[in-house]
Amino acid sequence: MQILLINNNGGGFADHIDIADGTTVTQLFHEKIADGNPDDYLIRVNRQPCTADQVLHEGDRISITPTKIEGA
Amino acid sequence: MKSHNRTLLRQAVAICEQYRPDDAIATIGQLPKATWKAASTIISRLRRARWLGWHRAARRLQVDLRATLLRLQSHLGALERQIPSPHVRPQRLAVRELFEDLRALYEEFEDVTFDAKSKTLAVTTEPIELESILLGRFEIQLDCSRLTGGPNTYRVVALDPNPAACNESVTHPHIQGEVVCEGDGTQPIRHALEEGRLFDFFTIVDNLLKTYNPESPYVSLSDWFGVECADCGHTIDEDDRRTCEKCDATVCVDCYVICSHCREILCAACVSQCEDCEQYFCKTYLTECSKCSVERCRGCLDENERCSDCHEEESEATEKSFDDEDVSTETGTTIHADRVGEAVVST
Repeated sequence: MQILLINNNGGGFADHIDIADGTTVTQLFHEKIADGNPDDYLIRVNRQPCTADQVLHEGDRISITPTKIEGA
Repeated sequence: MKSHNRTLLRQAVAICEQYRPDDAIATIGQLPKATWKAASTIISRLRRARWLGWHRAARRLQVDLRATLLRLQSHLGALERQIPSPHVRPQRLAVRELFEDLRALYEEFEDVTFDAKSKTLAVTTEPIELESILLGRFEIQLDCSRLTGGPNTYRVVALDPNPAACNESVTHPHIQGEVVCEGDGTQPIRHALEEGRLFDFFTIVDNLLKTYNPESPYVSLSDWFGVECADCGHTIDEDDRRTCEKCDATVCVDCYVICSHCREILCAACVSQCEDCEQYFCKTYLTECSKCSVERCRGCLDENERCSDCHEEESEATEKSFDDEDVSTETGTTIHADRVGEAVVST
């Protein structure tokens, strides 16, 4: 199934991606940000707070934004 | 709730109307002249420090120069990105997406306002505290007619300003003159604005304000309330600071002294004055006179480590004893003690 992933870590691109049915938020997070700790990110599904084991559905919009972003 | 949604819908429509993807002519911001000038000043000081052999001062200036060049790089990069890429076609914003973003913003932040006249969408952060320094709330003001990224698209205004003591335009370590130096946030901010993802934009900027990067702030938090001169106790501006090259104490331009021998910058605790020539030297350069024990510079001591006063005194004493011997040699007489009853009559 297809979802919209907005990865604001680094480049900050928004892409439609295909994921397997039943993929949870945590599973997707670890797949896309391998060395990251979810506690260090603001994760929203359809702009709403979500749980770690929330299952994603077709057309969901998931955004992952680091809580620590260093200015210069 | 319905009236709130109607308000949000009106705002979303107003923002959509501002964003015309066919307006591919970019509005370019100003060149970072102040940052360029700051870098030029540091380079001049660095060259002078190297020429004078002030190695510690030179090392500190190198650190300052690096931070300033990084800011310059960031500003120039932001300007370059204001020019639309010929290969990227700006997207038309969807009212529905903007509506959902606005609704999420109202849920996420304490205060969200939209000025229909200026087309400015503003969000107020929670009070921000970094390393126990309370910086207060900030209002992130986005000009919705310029959703292309860059320094002129948005500004961040301190609502409860607690600026740096040495520069009141620095209200946050990474904000000067209401402009954020975006650093790691540059790309995500730009893409969020280009794609009309306003909720992402505001959360990215909010997270940036809550993060302190000690490597390259405009003013570091350790210097936020100013640095005191180790000698006179006055608060010193950044430009007027000098560092003692012996003990690293910070002193102001009125208090520092330069060693007349090695030319290093010194504070009052590390400097002494020669009693003879009255010049200032590192304490290690002064030696006690071997006779009177008063400190003199090496230039004012003779080969026997005596000061000029003691040298003179000793010379006089030596001369006097020579004079006395000369007198007895001349007359050839010896003077007898009293009560011998004899006296030599000159022949």
